[in-house]
Amino acid sequence: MLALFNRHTQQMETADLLDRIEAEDVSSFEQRWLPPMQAKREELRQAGKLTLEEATRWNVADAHWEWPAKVRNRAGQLQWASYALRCGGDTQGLLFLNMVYKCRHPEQLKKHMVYVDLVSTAPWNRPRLVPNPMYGGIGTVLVTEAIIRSLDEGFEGRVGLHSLPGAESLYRQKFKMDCLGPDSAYGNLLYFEMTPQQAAALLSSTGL
Amino acid sequence: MNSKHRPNSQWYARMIQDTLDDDFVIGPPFDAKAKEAATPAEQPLTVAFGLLVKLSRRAKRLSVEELAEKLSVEVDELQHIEHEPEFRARPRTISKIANFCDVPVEDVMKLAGAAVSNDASFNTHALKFAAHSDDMAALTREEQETLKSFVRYLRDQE
Repeated sequence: MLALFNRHTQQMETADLLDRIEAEDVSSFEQRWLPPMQAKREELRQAGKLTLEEATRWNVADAHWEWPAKVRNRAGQLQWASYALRCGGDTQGLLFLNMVYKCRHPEQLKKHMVYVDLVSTAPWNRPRLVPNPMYGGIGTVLVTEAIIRSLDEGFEGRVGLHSLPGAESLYRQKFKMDCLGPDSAYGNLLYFEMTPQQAAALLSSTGL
Repeated sequence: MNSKHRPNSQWYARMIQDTLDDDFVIGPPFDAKAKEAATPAEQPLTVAFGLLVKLSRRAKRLSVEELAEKLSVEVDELQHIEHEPEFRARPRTISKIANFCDVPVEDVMKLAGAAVSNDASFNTHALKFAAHSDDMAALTREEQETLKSFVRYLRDQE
């Protein structure tokens, strides 16, 4: 059974992970996620501070992603898998995985892997954007799901992702992924990969 | 969602506590070039081939490794078929898959890109089948019916 950490009650709370983003989740994104993110983005724009650094600082670097369009365009395409994480009666996190990317890691070159395309959380869970964020653990649950999916698909836990600037230490230090450097084809974001050995070590670890 | 690879709740609780203050958002920065077109490209028939293999395998509760052993083909080849529309399977493999799915080999050859299909009705049926999402780990009743319906259509082509 999956759970998220409720920062208000300081308790773990049962969560549901759905293996596809449904209309209810898209509706939550459009009606409840987007307005506060767009408001902060507009505030930055009017202050002349709409840069990646400032958007990262305020935790709205993903405010331009078009989840509804992506859900619509990717529906039924074999290469995509989507997940929605629900807790407390609302959608708390969204995830898109791609199944056709190949490893760049020299030790795993051209082997199958799961590529983490998009991970996002509801704005009310975001430190810095709101004063008292609600749930914690959304990203951890969703990125872990990418590793589990990789194992389930027979890809031995191989996972790749591009990290936005604020998240680099998480993937390097906590998930123990290898950083393969900035990717000039993708906004110079750092590209990370997890090897089968790293996946096995992470999922069997008893302490970080 | 069940998976034999999922860690226990203690693992999750510990990992969540250890990462509580970390940012994790993944995706394109807003100055990155778009990775995909605004509208999706038309799907090739091989998407239907991959989905046919995957759903048929799941319907019989076989792993990729188990099906590869059953058909005497490489695990890699089956993974390519299920996940890469650009991949072209070997005719011998296609024939074995047709037998496994119990559908006419000529039709599966068209789906797999090993034979040309000029039949508009066939293409429409295949693409409609391919549009069905494959996200479910186990087949739901609706998915079973979708698979059965497409297999029936292929058999009726004979």
